[in-house]
Amino acid sequence: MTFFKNERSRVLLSIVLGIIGGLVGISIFGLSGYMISLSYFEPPLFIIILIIVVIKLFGMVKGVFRYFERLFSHEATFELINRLRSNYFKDSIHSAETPNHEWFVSRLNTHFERIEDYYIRIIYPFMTTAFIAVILTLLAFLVNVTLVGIVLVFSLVTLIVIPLLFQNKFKVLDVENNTKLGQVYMEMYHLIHGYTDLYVSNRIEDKKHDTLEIFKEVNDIERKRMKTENIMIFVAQVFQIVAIVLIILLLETTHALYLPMLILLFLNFAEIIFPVLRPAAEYKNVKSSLTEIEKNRVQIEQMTGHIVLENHSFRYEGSKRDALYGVNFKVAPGEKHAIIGPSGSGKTTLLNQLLRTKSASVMPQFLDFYNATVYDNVTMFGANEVSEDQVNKRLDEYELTTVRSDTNIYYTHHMSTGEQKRLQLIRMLLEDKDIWILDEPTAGLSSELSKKVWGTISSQDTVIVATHDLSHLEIFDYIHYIENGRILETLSQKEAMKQGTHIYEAVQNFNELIQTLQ
Amino acid sequence: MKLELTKKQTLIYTLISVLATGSYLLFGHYISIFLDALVINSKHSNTIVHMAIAFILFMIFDFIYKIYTGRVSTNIVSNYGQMIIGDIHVRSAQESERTMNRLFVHLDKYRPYLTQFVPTIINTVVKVVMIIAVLIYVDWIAALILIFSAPFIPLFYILVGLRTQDEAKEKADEFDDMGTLFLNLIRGKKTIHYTESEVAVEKALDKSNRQFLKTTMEILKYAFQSTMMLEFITILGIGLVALEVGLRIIIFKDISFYTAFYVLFLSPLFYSGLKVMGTEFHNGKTALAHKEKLEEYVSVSHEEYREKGDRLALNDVTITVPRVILDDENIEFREKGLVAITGQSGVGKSTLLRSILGLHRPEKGTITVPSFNMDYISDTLYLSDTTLYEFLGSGDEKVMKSVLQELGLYFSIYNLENGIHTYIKNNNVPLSGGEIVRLKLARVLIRRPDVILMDEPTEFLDSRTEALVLEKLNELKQDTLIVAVVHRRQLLSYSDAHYEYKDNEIRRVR
Repeated sequence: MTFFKNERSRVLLSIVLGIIGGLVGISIFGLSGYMISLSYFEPPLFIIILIIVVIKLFGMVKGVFRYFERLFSHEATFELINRLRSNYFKDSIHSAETPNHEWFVSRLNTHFERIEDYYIRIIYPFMTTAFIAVILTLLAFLVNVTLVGIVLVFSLVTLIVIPLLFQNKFKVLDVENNTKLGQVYMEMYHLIHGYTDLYVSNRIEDKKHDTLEIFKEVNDIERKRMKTENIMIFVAQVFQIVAIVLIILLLETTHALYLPMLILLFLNFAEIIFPVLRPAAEYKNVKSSLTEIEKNRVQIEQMTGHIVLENHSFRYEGSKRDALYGVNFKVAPGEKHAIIGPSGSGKTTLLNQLLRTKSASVMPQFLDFYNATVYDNVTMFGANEVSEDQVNKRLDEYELTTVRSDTNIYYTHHMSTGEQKRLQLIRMLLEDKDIWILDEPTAGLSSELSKKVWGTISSQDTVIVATHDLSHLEIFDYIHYIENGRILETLSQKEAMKQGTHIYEAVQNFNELIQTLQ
Repeated sequence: MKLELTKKQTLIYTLISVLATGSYLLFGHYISIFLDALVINSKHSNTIVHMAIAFILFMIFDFIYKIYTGRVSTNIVSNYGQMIIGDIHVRSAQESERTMNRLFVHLDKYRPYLTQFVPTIINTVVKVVMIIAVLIYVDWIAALILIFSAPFIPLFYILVGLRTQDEAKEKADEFDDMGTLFLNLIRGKKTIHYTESEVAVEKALDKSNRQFLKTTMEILKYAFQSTMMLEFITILGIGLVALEVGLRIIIFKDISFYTAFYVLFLSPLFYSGLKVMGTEFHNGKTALAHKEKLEEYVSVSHEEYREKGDRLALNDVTITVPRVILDDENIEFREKGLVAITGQSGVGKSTLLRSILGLHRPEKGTITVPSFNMDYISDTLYLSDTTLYEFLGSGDEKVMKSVLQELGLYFSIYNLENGIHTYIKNNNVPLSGGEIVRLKLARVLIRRPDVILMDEPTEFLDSRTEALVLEKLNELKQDTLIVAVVHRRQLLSYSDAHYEYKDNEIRRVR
């Protein structure tokens, strides 16, 4: 309950409405039982009519109460979820943590759904039912202490003892489910992304088979959960029939006339209890979902404001070798730098280190686009103010004619690499920052578009580019050659084009590319 | 709405339902007899034992029903899982999110249709029919009241339901959208950070959350209103039955206590059955929307389409992606040696290699291959969930060692904690770019396939790797056919034949 702030009054109201609705519902059955007992003892007709009218009124009241109860509780819960979602997002965006494990991210929505479940399926119904049990126990005093005892024991056993007994089983299943589900996810991921390799080495069928086997296990856990719930209900039913027999045997001599009413009341009470058995037993599991999405803010380290790396080494977590070793890198305002080198040499790593020094417009290696319109994507949801027309003009300029400013982008890989690069370029132009840092800006572009993109880059103030497209090195003031994490050469434009340097060789090598000649 | 059950399963579902409902009706019957004797004649009767037995029977049949339906539905879900996993093919990577969603979102949301909806519907139909049958026998007037009021419920559902159905689907879509936006904002938080647009993005997310809350509540209002109306109809029916019973006891004096109690025991059961059908109808519809999403997927046949022949050849082959990239092509490649294919990017070279490899079925024509023992050296590498040893073909480690030594990989691999048995997770390969290229080459040298297909990396390699690759390819081509997509003149100069791929055609240059 501590999570609710503005929603608290509505939550309380909905629980109160739920209790009254439940009680009214149960009393309808009790009343009709009482009515027939009474009928045989020649009551005036109007009493019977009165009872029936009351039954009908109660029924209406119950309907209305239930309506508002559900409306309030759902609205309050959804508002709560929205707030948790926003808070989670704010925390996550302000933390320096690298993006979470892919599996965790894709499970995030499930976590929020579980929180929703926690309130709508567990907390409200359980509290409502528990209150009804208490009220019924109190009302049983009107009959006698024996009935109080029976109702009390039945309520305690079904609402507390049985859920506690089965709690562990659900926990075990839940843990197993989470591990197995994670496994299936990873298996699927490998299957999808490593398909060609698995196929070539004749392992695809085995892999599919293994994946399916784990999926079947996950699937079976769901069945076991249902089975556990059914066993719980079975046990509760045993108590139910014992209670009914006890009520009959202990009250038949003293309260014969009330028995039809009591039995109908009791049957209905049990109907209310059974649906909350499993939620009650799963209470703890679901609650842990609540804590799982809470995370600590890790403050982002301060930028130094100068693009300078001095004797800088860097090693990825879990790696045995330095990805960068003793790197010196310095960029003054207005300078243009290119970083070149063979594949896997550390270009991207170096750029990522530079990014931590100063705020800049960035084209990272992997681009992010969001499930929103092109306009929202390039302006970052309006962070950069610009008109729709201007966006469309830019789109035309970079030959992105298939999309318009109001076109929806569903996800990043909906577009080709070339399209992504151009959209990112527009995003950067709208940002209007002095420093541009780009990783492979021309990958996936035709030579004409490449030319245009290089033109845009050269008209910026300060530029750092990592690239293997060496066709436009003339726009740079300095060129750095990196291999195996070390900067082997840092040369000015003029020096670089002299024979015998790494850079000269790389350019020769690049000109070998048949494609660029055609 | 299809039940997705075999005839036999439907029969067993129905049969167990009949037994369970029958037991419960017997339970009511014995309670009524017992109470009749007690209230009217103040006599204790032994029917209490029968009552208890009937209830226990009900418990057992009910339990069996749930266990059986649980098993059947789990198997059906497994079959869907098999279909989804089986459908994964070489291009699934391009829509990996969708493929993942099929298994983890849509199948998951469709599951309740099989585990809950179908069993509940069959059970409830049986229940409602049996109650009416018993009532006609016990008190036909009450039965008539139930029969006449019952159609109001489905009628009401049709009126309200039609509207909710569309909106529920809309809501499901909107939920997907909001969920996706939230997730890809979290995933893409780096860009938000770089562009310093945190505030704007937070605002946008809040707006989308609020919009979602609004639509959700509107739809829920309908659903809740319809439940309320159902409650009204139910209470109207139960009230009428109570009135009928009351009048017959007091004025007409023509029914026994037994009948009266039994009727009042049965009629709420009847209505709750109808109500359950109503709510399940909604749930079923939502689940079916997910089934649609599950099925809107073009599955690709995994059958072998290549034929065995003397030479690698394309016979009247047309390849589409789905635009045509190769039109009615006929080529017979040489038996051995290095075949170079050049062409502009995007012309379809890599797809052609995949077709030869057996991963992309041509639209028309046949591909003959001299051997199915092929290997593919791609220009990218995804390595995961495997050890280097497995990647290299799980063969003789001695052979591996010598090949790794030849390629200058021995030191960097055996220096790893677990050496060649290092387990690679999440593409976290502890090797440099040049080393990865050499690792791929190592596999070919170890496995010695009859045909090697390769995509030359466009990015240049360090000079040592470059030299090694050329040397080894030159060696391999002596007794192997190598078909390579070539980007550099140097590799081209080593080739024994050169084809140019242009305008949906492959022409031999040399």
